[in-house]
Order: sequence, then structure tokens, then C-alpha cells
Amino acid sequence: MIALEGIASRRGGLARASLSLDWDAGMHAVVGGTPDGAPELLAIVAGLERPRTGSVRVLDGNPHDAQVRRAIALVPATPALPERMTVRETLELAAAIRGDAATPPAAERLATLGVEALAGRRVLGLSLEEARAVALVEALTAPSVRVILVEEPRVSVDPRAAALLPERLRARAAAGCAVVMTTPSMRDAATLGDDHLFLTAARPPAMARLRIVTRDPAALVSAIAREPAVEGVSRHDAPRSGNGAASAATAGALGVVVARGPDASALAHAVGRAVVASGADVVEMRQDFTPGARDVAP
Amino acid sequence: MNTVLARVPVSRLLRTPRAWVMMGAWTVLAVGFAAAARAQGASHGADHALVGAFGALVVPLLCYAIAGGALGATSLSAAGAPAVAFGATPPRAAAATVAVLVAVSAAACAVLGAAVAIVAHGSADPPVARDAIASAYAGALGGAAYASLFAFGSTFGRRGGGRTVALVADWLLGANATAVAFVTPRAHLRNLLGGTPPAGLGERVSAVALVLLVVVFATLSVRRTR
Repeated sequence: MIALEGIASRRGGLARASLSLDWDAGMHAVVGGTPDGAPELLAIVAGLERPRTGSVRVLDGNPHDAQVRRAIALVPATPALPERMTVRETLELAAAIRGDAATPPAAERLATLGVEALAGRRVLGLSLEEARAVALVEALTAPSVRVILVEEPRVSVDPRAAALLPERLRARAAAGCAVVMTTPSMRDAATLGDDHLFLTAARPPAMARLRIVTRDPAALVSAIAREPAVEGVSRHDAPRSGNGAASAATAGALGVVVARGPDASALAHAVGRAVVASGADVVEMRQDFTPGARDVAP
Repeated sequence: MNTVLARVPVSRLLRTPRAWVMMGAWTVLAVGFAAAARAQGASHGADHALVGAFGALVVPLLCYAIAGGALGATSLSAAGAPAVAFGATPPRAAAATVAVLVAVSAAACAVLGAAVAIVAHGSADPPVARDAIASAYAGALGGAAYASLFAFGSTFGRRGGGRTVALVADWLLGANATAVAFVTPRAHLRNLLGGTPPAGLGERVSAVALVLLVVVFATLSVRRTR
């Protein structure tokens, strides 16, 4: 459904990349934030930006074509909605632009994410979280949409919608949509995505390393060690910072786990699975470029 | 499809109170000048009111207020972003916005031009009906040209600040009757309303020039949103 071949963006974190991938229907997680070029990747797939190099095919067509554009829904961090319309009018406008003749009433569509109370509200008066929920409802309930692109699905979403969102996204993916989500959180990527693309603004290291700060280092090390994609895992003491007794007490309860593997995407997926399996409370997770950590073979 | 896309700028224009206040203010100014000319008993009252306040001041500022209302405090591409978010292509969203801008500006300036001609009508002016129709025709062409110019200006700057530059440039370049004024709506509108022509051109040439300005600026506006 989505095929990228040697893509580099004109600006941002993907400017030096040469990204090739093939996404079919399903849930696809892109691990990376704004500095890594995640928003640019979504904009290129949505046909809102032209890549500097490479080719993009979406639904067997060019994402700049009007027919293809109507089947793509992009929910960015700050959605652009018609600020002078009500939410009901906004959903009706969206259906008219997409050419969806038989869409359910607005209240019914909004109920998909439990935000039917917003139907009569002016877009201008919505909070960012509510506006994101409306944009997500539009993407999830438009019959013609076959590609859903969501920037950070767990951030700035109305609490009513946040609880229902993963299930609804999975339902659309099961119905044949390609759902692509960007997130800097490994845990979100592991719980939401069926597969993972690891974006990094820096050149990818020969050996990928993930550094996880957790309150349950022993449980996490055991779980990670069982993952075949992980070549090594090590446990370290958490660095102490600050002078107060409180921070010392907090640091004492934390441990650092470093996992490494030859394939960044597989490593990310494996660590995400291990976090979920172990139930470890993760405080921080990021790529680690610090050399010298002693690894323990799984 | 384009009528659907037009809903975004139309809703913005109809539901922005500040835009209505500004449009109302310029309308009151035009009618006020016309009423003053009539009260003074000027024999060429319509000529004075149309060439003076209406053509030089009210048409550009009314169109500027309409552009502000239809686009909001943003650029042309940002104004079309809601439609683009729902699957429209950026050029089509921009074209719909420019079309609304041109149509509303042309209609508003035509009605106001006719009203000014009727209110300020003097004893030496042409017959009132003919003068009102000619003024409406000139107002429509001038309004459309200004709308197109401001749409083009709105493609510059993150908040569409280029349209303010366009307003000032038109004011400065269109003030005289030299060849430079040929690229400004102001000079041609003044010619159509009976004022000094740019570079000695006839009224018909100015009418064609205004149509060309509409087409050129609208095309450039849409192309810049690609």
C-alpha cells in the first residue's frame, strides 16, 4: 500500500537518509521524534511534501494525485481544522471533500472515540487534545480512507479518546487500512505497532544499542535476554544526579539496562516486547551511543 | 468539489466579526463621502466621490479586509490547510480560496460603486442609472483585481504578510500616471472611474488590464501553493 524507494527529505532529520520500505495493511510504528524526521516522513507519504530524492507510491499511485489524496488521512501534532465551523460541520465538510456519500451522522462518528459531546462545539473553542480527537475521528470513520498517518498517538489526545484509540486503530488496520504511527516511545511502539521502523537523525551505528532506565532492572534483563534478536544485555547502576535526599532515594531505586543487537528495528521490537512481558516500569528509553558497556550474552 | 472547498473560506468570512467591522467601516466611509458630495451640491459629485474616496481608498481597503476575513491571519496555503487535511490537493484548496476572495470582493465593490454613484449623483453627472451600472462594472473589475493581488501577496510570509506589502506597493506605484502604474489595479481602476489614465491608456485597455491582473495574480497564487 505504501512503497518508499531511496527517500530523502528536503529538510529535517531525513535529509541525509535513503529510506526504502514497503508497508501493507496493518499497524506500523515509526520510532523517532521531530529531530529524526518523523513528521517529514508522514508529510511525504501524505503527499504534502515532495522528497528531495527517491520515489513514493501510495495505493499504487502518486500521493499528490487528487484520487489518492482523498484516501489518505494525516493527523499531525497540531491538526488544521476549519476554525470557524462547528465539529459537526467539520465532519460533514470532510465527508464532502473525500466524496463519502454515506457517512454516519457526526454524533455517531464522534462516539467512536467517546467524544460525541463535541459535536456542537466550535472548532475555535476546542483544546488541542479535543481537536486531535476530532481529527482522529475523521480519519477513523471516513469510509474512503485507506491510509491513516498519526503523529504521536499517545500525546495530546483527549482522555476519552485516548482509551479507545488503540483498539479503533487496530480495527481499521484489520479492515485493510495501513496505519502508520510515529512515536519517540519504544513502549508505545511495541504496544501499538506490528512492526517498527527506527528513525535516527544520526547515521545508524553498526550495532544498535538501547539504554533503558527502569525500576525493575532484574525483571527486564531476564525478559530481554530471552529475545533472540538481542545480542547482548547489561545492567548498570543509575547515575546519581542532584544533591537532595529525595533525588538520591529515587536514583537508588532505578537501574539502567543496555540492550544491543545488529538490527535496530528488530532490537526495538524485541525490547518493546520484553518491557510489556516483564511489566517493568520504564522511566526512560533511548538510543545509547556510549561505548564501553560490558555486555552479557543472553 | 470546488464549491465544497469554498466552504472553508466562506465560513471564515461569514463568522469573523472583526472582518465585518472592517468591511462595515469602509462601506460607511464610502457612503459618507458620497453623501457629503451630494450635500455640498457638487455638479460632478459622483465623479469626485468615485475617483477620490471610493477608487483610491475604499476599494483597496475593503478588499484587504475581505482578504483578512477569508484567509484569517495566515498565508494562502495555511488558509487552505483544513481542506488539505481532509484530502484536497493544496492547489485546489488555494484555487477555491482565491475564487471566493475574487467573487466576494467583486460583488461588494460593484454594489458599493453603484451605491456611491447614486448617492453622490450631481447635476452634471451622466444619467444616474447609466452611471450606477458603469460604476458597478468598474468596481467589480477593480475589486476582483485587488482580491487577486492580495491572494498573491498572501503567499509570502508565514502569516501572509505579503498582502500588506502588496497594498503599500499598489498605493505607491499606482499613484502616478507613468508606465510603472500599469501593473497596479489602482491606476486602471482610477481610469475606469474617470480619473487620470496610466500612460494615456484608454478605458477599454484598462478594463482588459484589470482582467489580466486577476488571471495572472490568481494563477501565480495557486502555483505558489504547490
